[in-house]
Amino acid sequence: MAGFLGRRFVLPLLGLFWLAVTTVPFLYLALMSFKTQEETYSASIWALPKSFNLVNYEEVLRGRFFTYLGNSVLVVSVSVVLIVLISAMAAFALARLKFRLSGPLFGLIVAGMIVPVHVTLVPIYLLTRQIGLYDTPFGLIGPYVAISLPISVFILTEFMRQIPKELEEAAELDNCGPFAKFFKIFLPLCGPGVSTVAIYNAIQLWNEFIFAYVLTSSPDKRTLPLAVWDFQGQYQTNIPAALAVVTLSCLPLIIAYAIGQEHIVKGMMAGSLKG
Amino acid sequence: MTSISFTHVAKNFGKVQVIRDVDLDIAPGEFCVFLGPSGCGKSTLLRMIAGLEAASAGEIRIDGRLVNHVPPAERQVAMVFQNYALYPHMTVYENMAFGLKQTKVPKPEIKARVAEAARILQIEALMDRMPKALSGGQRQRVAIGRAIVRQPKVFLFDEPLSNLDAALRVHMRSEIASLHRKFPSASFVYVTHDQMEAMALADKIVLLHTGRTAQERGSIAQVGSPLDLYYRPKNRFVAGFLGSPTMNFLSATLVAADATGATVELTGGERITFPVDARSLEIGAQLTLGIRPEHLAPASDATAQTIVRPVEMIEHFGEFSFVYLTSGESMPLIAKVQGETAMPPDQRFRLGVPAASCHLFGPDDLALPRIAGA
Repeated sequence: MAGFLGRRFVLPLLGLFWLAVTTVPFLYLALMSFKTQEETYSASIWALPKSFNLVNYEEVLRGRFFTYLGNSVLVVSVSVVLIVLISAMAAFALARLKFRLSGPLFGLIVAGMIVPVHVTLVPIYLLTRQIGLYDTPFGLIGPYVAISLPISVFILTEFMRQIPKELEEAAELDNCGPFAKFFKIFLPLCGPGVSTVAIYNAIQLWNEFIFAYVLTSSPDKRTLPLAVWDFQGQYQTNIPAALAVVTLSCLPLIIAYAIGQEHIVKGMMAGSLKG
Repeated sequence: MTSISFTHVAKNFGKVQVIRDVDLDIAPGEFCVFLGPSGCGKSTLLRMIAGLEAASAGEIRIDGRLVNHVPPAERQVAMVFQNYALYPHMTVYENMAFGLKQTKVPKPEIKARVAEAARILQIEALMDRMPKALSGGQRQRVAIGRAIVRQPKVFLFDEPLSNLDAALRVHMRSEIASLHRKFPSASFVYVTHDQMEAMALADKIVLLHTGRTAQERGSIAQVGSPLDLYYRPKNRFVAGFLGSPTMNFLSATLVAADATGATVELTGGERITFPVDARSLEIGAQLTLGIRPEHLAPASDATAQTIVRPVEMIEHFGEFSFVYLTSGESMPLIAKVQGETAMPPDQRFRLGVPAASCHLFGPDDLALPRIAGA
């Protein structure tokens, strides 16, 4: 009886509650961004906008928004491609190749997760200046890849370990060396893991603020999280416009997640073995 | 035509020796089955032919060529795995063509070879499907197809039917047998723990034992044709492994031995004489008499050699019945009797013991030699 009640009522209620926790702030944000400035101050903060006017968006898009967006897309996409490639290769080696110290090496890489990024800020700032990458979007890629690798290697190693040994042996009989095994069998089979790593890191890096703040200075080199900050300063009296910036910077992530989510759920492993 | 030979081959996993002192020759075109209980190393032996496991000692030769250090892809072998091991992200066609692509076979030839294999296995309609959209039997066919297209000199099968249901297993068994007829020049090596499969398919059975016996006498218990192993088991393990229900083993005392045969006395006082040479043993030696359930038949009082024991229970199967008799040993004596047998429990049942079907095992569990012409 308790199980029945739990399944029919408690779990759906908890689900609805959590849905509200996650979506209400975004809905509030989006709705506010359509309001005029007067409405923001005159009406209740929970009131719907009188009309869906796009004035705030027009104003924001006429500014430097696309420069920031371009920088973010460039930095995040290059970083994510590098993270996926490097972490998948490392995971393949750690999970499937037999070599001395593979266990301790895995432990060492995963231990990287406990290093707080802030303690690396000053050395990275100095290094970036020395190699001449300060104030370029490319200066961000190195630290982004480095801080994302431990968790990515951790996730993908688990995925690689779960791929049945027989598939690897079948590949060996089919004349696959380590590279063919990796690119033609393991990487495609780790699709869900690769998606997880790509989406997780894309979200983290898309929102990353502190490295972007320390390693770039000119407005045309900065990424979206700093743009929001810039706009906040620029429109401190225009709250709906600032919220329009926030809404716009969230959108690419939400779209990417909606597409990628399906890919994660799709069980690519189904049918490889019996069952 | 390809032969395979093992010379003093051993395999250790850490400190555990799973294969010990294997000497074996598999003739070109032969269908050889590795049979044995779990953990006897039969799959390991097969994987050593494939190159997926390295031998810890000894030599493995394929076609006379030492292959101990030759990578799997260069051994001209193809393997069908127990779990099929189809690449889940490739279609049936891609699965079958993958190995050929990797060895840079020209595209038109790949197409032709895959089409031919698909025709043989009747899977032409499945070529665009993904493995997850196939039934167990279809996946098994694709796995076999993947082996065929490589035109290997040796086909290796690692318990390929163990994941199929009973009816499909019998069907696929006959397909594998017909595959062997279609590729007469290729040697087939097949691993199974199912004695029926082994008896049905094999030209040669290699029966492996495990544990202490394997450590003392080497991994191979006996090599021979299926009927060789059935009728002339070399030791008690082989005698007990083949046949279902298993062979009856009765404690016996040697009372006479000469050039024509041996006479033993059972715990029930019955004396049985049969053509086995036991002259090397002393009178009074404690031995084991082995007789298969299917060789015991209901007998009349006039029958020469009989065992009489009370009935414990009867299992009816229509075509035959299993009669369980109190034997005085740890296991009941089982007789496979044709047709139906109605008999109340505890009634004494007389069974005839044909002399030619008796086996005698010495204290070391080795079979005593049969007298020629018997």
